[in-house]
Amino acid sequence: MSAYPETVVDKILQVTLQSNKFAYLAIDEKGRLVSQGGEISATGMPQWEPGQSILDEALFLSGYVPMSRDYEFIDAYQAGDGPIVDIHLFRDQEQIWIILVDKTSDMEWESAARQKANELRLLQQQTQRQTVTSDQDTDPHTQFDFFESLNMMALRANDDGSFERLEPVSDRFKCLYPESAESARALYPQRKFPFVENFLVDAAEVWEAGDSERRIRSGPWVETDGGCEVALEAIALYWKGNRLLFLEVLDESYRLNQSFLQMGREGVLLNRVLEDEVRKQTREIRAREEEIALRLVCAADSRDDGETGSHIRRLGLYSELIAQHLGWNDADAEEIRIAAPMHDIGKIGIPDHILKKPGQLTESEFEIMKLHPEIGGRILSNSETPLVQMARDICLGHHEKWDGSGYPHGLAGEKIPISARIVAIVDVFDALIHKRVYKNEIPIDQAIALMLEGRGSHFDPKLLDLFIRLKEKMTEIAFDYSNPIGDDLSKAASIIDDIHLLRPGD
Amino acid sequence: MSDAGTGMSKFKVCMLGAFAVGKTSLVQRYVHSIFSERYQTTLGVKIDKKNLQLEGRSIEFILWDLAGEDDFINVRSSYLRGSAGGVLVADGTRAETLDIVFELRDKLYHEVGEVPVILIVNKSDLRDNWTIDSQRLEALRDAGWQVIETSARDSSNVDQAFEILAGRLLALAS
Repeated sequence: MSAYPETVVDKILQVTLQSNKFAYLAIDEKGRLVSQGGEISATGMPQWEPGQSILDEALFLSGYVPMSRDYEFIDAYQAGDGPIVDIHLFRDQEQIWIILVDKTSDMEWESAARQKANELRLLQQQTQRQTVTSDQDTDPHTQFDFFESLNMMALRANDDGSFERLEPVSDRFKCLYPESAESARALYPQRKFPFVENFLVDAAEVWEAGDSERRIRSGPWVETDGGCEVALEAIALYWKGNRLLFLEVLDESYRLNQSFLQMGREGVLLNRVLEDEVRKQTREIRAREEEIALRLVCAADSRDDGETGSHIRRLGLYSELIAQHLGWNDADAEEIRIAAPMHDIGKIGIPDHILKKPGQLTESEFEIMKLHPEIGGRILSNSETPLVQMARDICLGHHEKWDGSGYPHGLAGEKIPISARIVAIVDVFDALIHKRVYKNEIPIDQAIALMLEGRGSHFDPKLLDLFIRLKEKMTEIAFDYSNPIGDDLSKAASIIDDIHLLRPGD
Repeated sequence: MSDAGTGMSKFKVCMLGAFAVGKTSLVQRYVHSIFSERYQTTLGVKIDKKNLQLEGRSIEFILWDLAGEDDFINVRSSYLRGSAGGVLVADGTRAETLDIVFELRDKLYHEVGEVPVILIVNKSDLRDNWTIDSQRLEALRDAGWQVIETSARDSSNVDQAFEILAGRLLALAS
């Protein structure tokens, strides 16, 4: 203290004494009160009588009296609910001095400061947790701030069907769902978005299961917002007792997925257009082939008064029908429809006096007539076209018989190509039920009865059975196509006839 | 379903069909009176609303335009929940889209029962390219189907189709 002027020391004492309450006690070596002064009661000390030992009540002296050191300091001592005091102990030669300084107000201020410091520390820790998003946190309010940056709105379901928004909400949602901008407001997204209303049924299952591992996504849906389309998706999950619903604006991910799907589907559509075009072109080519074949066949057959354009057309249709019921594919069935009419094309090589002879042929004439399958076979030989190959088989085989008694090669059974076995049946059937210059027609049932006589000898028995099962449809063809292209073909035939007539010496 | 407050009858109606048959175009034509030549595939669900007056009654259609069914996407059954009716859409130029309609109708019936449905055969403006023949459609009509041939492009029969469905829904509701 000597370093300070007395005036300064006095001032310090004045300020200190005014702002703090003091008391002092003087005791002897045995703890008996010698003297006391100051604001004893303000320091929480009882009133002692001089000579009275204070050691039993002044517990703070325990261990300090008798004093082994010149000075001791007890910081912020509080007895029960009493005031907080700093205690200074020092001794001189006669007694021990105890100075009590009330620190209650200081401690209250310090406590408040400490409280503030702790609050700041807690706030700091909370902020750190929000950033890290630890799974150990339990308050959903502290978890969802970052959803703003994801264009996602987090909602917690209440028991009354409303939802509580978990802060904050992005500007996109404020525009799309203005009610969500008000933080305290109970929200009903199911009323705003019919899609969400529907989704909440599925969400409820997840929430009721109470399994935090389960979550369900709604799939995308599109809302119209001021003329613009906004793609959204809803996600429901259960998490630490909270029934949570997230609404997410999909933006780029939606557009990306949409463009992938679009590409895939446009590819499918393009393939389909191309396939249709190929089919259409194939049909046109096939139709041209068929027309050319029929016209040529008609021209060849025009020399045979027994054949007509309608006959060859019907033959193709009967054959196609059988092929379809045998399970042939469409292309093969179409081929036999076109090839069957060529069965007698070899007659082009038979002289007129035999071909057009009105009466019965002599044995030698018939031998010549029997050459027409081989002539037709030669005309159609050496082709790599399946259609022409089938036509050749039919030309060569349609007079063969199941039992091997036919001509030209006496083939039997399945050695006769199936196309020829089919045409053998329908050729005879159509000839029997239609009138020719040399014979009258007979009723269909009678024709079938006659043909049954040749079952297993003339005709393939299984094919004949199938043919008979198809009798009704065969009959329809027989009458519906009595002259379908016959007019055109007959015209072509008459033109050919005219050409024949004009040719001298023919 | 009727809103007691407004007296308006609200009906959720699902648009169902194969992809690229014109479901979205029909909704756009019906609700907004617009048509785009550009095919824009739908991913997920688009929801639109249309108010109309029929027989002196107010109706609100909530139209769920569902992504078309194909190898890439199947219609989620949960989307059909609560449907009061269905608009089944086929593309007249693609016969196979009619087969998908039957599958989707079964799916709808399975989810919500036999609610009123109509069959729209769209793209009547391209009738020359149709691969669904009239006999097949007649057979469907004979079998009790409500078949309407429409064009979202030139708007023919679009409003009428939805009004037919609205009439059936109202009749069922009253």
